[in-house]
Amino acid sequence: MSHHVIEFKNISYTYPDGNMAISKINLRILHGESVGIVGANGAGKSSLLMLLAGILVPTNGEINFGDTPINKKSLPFIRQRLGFTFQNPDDQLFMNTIYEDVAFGPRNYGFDEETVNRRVLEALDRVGILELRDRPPYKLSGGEKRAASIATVLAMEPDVLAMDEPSNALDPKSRRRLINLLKEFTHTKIIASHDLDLVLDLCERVVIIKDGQIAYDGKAMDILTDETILDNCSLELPLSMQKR
Amino acid sequence: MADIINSVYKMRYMDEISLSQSPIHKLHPITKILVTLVYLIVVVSLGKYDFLSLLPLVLYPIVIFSLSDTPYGAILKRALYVSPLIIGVGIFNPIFDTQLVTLFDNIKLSLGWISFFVLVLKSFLCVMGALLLLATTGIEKVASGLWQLKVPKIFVMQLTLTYRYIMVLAEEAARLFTAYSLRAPGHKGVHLKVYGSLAGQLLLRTFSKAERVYIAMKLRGFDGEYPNTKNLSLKINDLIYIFLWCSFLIFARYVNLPIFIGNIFTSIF
Repeated sequence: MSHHVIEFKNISYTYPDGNMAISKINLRILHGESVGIVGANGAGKSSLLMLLAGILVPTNGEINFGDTPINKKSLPFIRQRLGFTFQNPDDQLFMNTIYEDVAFGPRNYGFDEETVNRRVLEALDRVGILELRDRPPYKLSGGEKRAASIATVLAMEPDVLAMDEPSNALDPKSRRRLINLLKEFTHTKIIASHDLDLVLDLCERVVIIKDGQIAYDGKAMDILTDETILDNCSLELPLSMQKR
Repeated sequence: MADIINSVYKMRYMDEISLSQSPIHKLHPITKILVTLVYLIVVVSLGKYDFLSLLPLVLYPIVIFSLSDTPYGAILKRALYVSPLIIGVGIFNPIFDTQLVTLFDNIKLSLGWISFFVLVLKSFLCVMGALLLLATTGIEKVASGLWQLKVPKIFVMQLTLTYRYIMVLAEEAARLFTAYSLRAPGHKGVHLKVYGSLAGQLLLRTFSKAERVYIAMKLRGFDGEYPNTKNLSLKINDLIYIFLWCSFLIFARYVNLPIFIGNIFTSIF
């Protein structure tokens, strides 16, 4: 178990073409918290996660991962503890078979083949695609690729999970499997998603991003049931709360 | 859509056949890399008119093909891709080198043509050697083998990332072309006016996709090294393989085998 507090201190990010994606965000995520990041398209959710993973470098402010500020030197250390899944699983699967893809992470950290094998099979089993382990990624369906990309981060046994639209393209059963899987993950979870029902199921806290800034930050139950707030931010009530 | 799928499957074919389990596939990557290297050096180092010494070296690809069950067609087709380049370069030999030599008492052939054939055969054999290495080992294992042989990791990374980029490029091109065809019925190939923008888009899209894949690799700890393979050692099969091939190749390099075998036969009879 880790005791990392993730802190975004006055973070701003402007894309090279001048588009200000994130503007002066202050956010503090405690260890073990489950935070849902929601917002309209283009609000800045993915950018925020990419800043955390060190893929983007903030133009202002700093991010602390536990006691470690995120900079070039600390990135390898932080990346070992952060499991990040992309919006597009295709970007994350690049080996010859699913087994190799899931084994990639643990192998890079020097684990012996036996441990790697155990971790890979466990991760594949948890996402329900154990039988696809010898299949090349380009032969999988979208949802199977999504499950595989989640397995790739689970095999690294990270302390923090950051997921960008994890339930995209999943069939209802796989989606439910994902929700149950994430419920078992007791470390910090940061989930950017349009799937408000998933966020309601998994996250106690919700942060709404609007135009690169935090519009609301509070309990999921309070925010996701307030139609006015949601409407303000180009969102709707979660489907399970809407009348047919 | 069938076009994209066909192209992707064709391209990834080499990756797939590298996953088989023949005796050759099971050898340590270092073994195969070393033997391929010796093979390439021997082939390249033969004299430019030394056609006879080159012939026994055709044995290497034939043996590897049969032992590893690699399909001939796939590899031969890919080897032929370099032929325009080789022919384009080598065709100057017969033009400039017109010295004649007599074969079999009454056939006159210019040395230029002999050196041309030698060049073509040498290139063909070298490309086959490299393709067979890939087909029996796979790019990832070749990279880890090279890294274990202390090749600087920057070169190994260049190799693997270039290989991956080719895949990204070709797949994206197929996708762009399909999207184009769906809205340009009846056009054969791409209209010249649109060519520039499609090519530009292709470059930009593949750059950004390649970057994303690279980031995905970095996020999972990739830094050009293969620490997990440090302790894998060569087995007795590997050592026998290296010894047998290196002996044969070095012998074939210094002893003109066809003449040697011919002499044995003529001395017996």
